[in-house]
Amino acid sequence: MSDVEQTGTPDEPKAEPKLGRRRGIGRRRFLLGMVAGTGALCVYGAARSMSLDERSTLEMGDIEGAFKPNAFITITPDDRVIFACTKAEMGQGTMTGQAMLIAEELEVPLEKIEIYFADSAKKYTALGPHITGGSTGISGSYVPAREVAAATRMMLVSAAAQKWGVSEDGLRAEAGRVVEASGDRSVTYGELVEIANTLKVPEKPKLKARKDFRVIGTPARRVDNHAKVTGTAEFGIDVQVPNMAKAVMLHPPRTDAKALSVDADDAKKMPGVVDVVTTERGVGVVAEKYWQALRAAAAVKVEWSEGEGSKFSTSALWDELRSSERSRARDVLDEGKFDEAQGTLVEAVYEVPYLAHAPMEPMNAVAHVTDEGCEVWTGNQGPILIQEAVARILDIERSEVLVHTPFLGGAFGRRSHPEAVLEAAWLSKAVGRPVQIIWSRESDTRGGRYRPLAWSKVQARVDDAGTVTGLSYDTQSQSILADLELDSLFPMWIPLRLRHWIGRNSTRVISSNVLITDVLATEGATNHAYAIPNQHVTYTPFATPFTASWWRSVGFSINSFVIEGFIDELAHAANKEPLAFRRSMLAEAPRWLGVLDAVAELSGWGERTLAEGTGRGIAVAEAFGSFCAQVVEARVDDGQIVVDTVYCVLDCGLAVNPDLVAAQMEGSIIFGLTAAIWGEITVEGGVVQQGNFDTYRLMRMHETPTIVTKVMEGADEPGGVGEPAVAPLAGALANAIFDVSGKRLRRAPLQNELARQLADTTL
Amino acid sequence: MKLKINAEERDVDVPEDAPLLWVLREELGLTGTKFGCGRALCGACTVHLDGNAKRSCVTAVGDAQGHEITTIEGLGHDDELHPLQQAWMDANVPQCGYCQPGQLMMAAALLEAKPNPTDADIDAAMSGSLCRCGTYPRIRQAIHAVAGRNGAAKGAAK
Repeated sequence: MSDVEQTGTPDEPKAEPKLGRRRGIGRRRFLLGMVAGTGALCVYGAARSMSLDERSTLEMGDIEGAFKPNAFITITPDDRVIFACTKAEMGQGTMTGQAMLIAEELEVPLEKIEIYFADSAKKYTALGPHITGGSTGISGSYVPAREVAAATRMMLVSAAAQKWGVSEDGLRAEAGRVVEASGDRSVTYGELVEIANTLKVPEKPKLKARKDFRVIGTPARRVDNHAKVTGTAEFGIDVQVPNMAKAVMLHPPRTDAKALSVDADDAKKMPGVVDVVTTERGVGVVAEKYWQALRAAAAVKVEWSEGEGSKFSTSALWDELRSSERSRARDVLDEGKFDEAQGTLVEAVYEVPYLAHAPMEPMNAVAHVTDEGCEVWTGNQGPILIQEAVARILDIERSEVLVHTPFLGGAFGRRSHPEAVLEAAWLSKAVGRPVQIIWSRESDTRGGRYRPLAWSKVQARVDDAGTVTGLSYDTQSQSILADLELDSLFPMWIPLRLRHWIGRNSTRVISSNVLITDVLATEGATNHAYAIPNQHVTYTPFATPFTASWWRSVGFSINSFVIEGFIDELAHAANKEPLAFRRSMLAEAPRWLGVLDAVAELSGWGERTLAEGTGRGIAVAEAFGSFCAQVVEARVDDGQIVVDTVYCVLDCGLAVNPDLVAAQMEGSIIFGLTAAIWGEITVEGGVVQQGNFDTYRLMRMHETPTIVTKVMEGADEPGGVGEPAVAPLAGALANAIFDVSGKRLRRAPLQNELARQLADTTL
Repeated sequence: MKLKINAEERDVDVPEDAPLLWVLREELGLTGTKFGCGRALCGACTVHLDGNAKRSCVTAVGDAQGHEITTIEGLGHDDELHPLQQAWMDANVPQCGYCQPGQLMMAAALLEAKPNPTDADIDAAMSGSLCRCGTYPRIRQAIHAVAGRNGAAKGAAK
């Protein structure tokens, strides 16, 4: 597979610094170019408020004389095929998947496509929001990306027909050429560029039938493999901008604390130090080199305020939640009458902690604030979120903020928050140069954007026949939606400050839990397929000094654990076998049954006898449009949870690249096990207790179980892939531990809870 | 200060106690070596000193003087990838890819010492290298693939 271009301008040798030329092409020149081409009025130079087009720079796909029927595909006279990827590549493989969709309909070999990451220009939202999250990268692009490519292909075929003076009927596109079926004439796409440029874009692109796919459905190699094994992939931390200074941010030790006084006299005298700048989010130490900033940072003395957050502790929060009356609870689901359901009452309380995302690449950003606005380079999951946030702190319009997105060194939801960019922008403004800020690992872990901590009480009635007659679910957690900054949802004709006001009040409405309820907080509890006649689900939000964040699988990471753990409890209460018990309630849910049966077969459930001292647990979930079932085989070895094997079946509809789907299952399982067994962020007196990887433990090679995966072909369209396999995992593991030890683990992290139960002789 | 990096002599003007990681990244433009934790807890910054794996984030540049330093940029040769790099690609190992330079340098040092590692050898060598995306099963598979070829080559030599 050929080397893949990620950034840089097209017509210069590779040896040139990638960003060297980009810097020189500001918005003014780009717009002048547009003016020359279109004869439109020059918008720039008029009042700022009239300039609604977005900033952009010349990008890889902007090549003179090329055929560019849309913002995403460029075909050059010398037969290059260039694709602008609007989804962030954070490991999930979307860049490869997107390129496969394009290759399929454009009829070019996958390895022929050169790919760059689109900047924040508005033209790139034509295929949908420029946001990467919710496992929507491929499912959301499946139709629009193929349509864009199909339209391009149709225009090239028309161009060939025109060139030869023949009907299009006898022509077909194949491997970057248009071929005449009757004879041996063929022409490359590059040779058709000039004619194609005179043609109209077809309104209804004709998509290929599934049976004709030659790229989609294959286990193609990742297009970013080469860059990632040679160290040439450019992540945010690798971005180099001329004259860029580097910065360390000394973040407050307690959430919400502010710098009261700063003694930086010694630090400012140290080699390379540019300045020490106090910001709203901490004290920035700016130097020529990062290693110089690191040294100088150690010499800066800061006196911090207590901060509102100093009164906050997770232990106190738990006490509060456990004794709460839940007077603000609101119904999310109310079917039948749970109160009148017959049978024995079974009830349990499940608790899950805050979790950090801990991507391997710590948060970082480059910002360059000038009179023209702000240019940003950072790994991110939504450029518009950054544009809006930066615009607000600099008091400019979001169209004046240009965001470049390099590769993301992991994200898992974390890179939807803009704090590092804001810090870089403040510092850049202060020192008048581009500034790169790189967080320490400790700052990354303590950054205060966490998977919500949640308390859930779940009750059921089980009749004499072992049938579940009712299920009630009451959960309290911090609302992700209420913690969001929604300003960027509103159009730019609404002034910045008004957008902010509306955004803030929208989140207040959500947090009031009166008019709107955050349905993400109960996902997994409201959409399971178990046929239970009477169901009642309520949600009670609460607020803390920390921010609730998207975290791989979001609400499912909480509620699927509770539901699948509790269903297992009910199976035992009804004296039923856990798989058969689930099956009996899923007769009307074929895809749930499908993955359950498949994972049972894959794992030899009920067939194969496990070794003495090994237990197994099963769980299933529907999340992000896909269906996932897992069987975990685990032991307790000297009080420690040891997972031997995880079997996983995912029905994600159409798998665009089955090998990358399998990779997402493997990764989700390791991510999910890390969280289930050890993951926990705790806070005492506003201080996050975890910092580096010695206190925030991630699963390592020697702890990783054997993982057996199976991709099931299901529906005609793709479902989500990046997150669904996290959903059932904690439940399956807890059920396996119960199977082997008789200890029912209802509190995560499971290792701590197991230790507590083993130490408690009254249990 | 003179350093020998990827078979080239390079001059840097830094104090001896500057961390090798940042000297590589900032003074020499070798950004393939990554910062992950700053405390030798994650392995993202792994390079070779005379063929032995070292965490460059806690190695003073002065201690690297007089040694052959190899980074991910020097693991393969020009157009020819290291067998591990090729195996990584064949097995679709990388996800986000951020930790992979460190993983590859660690694996290369392992194979240098033990051309046919057991799973226990792989665990012992690789457990210091974190991957948040969870590519461990494929890393193991790729190491075995190269080791298998080592074994085959040896067999053929006999």
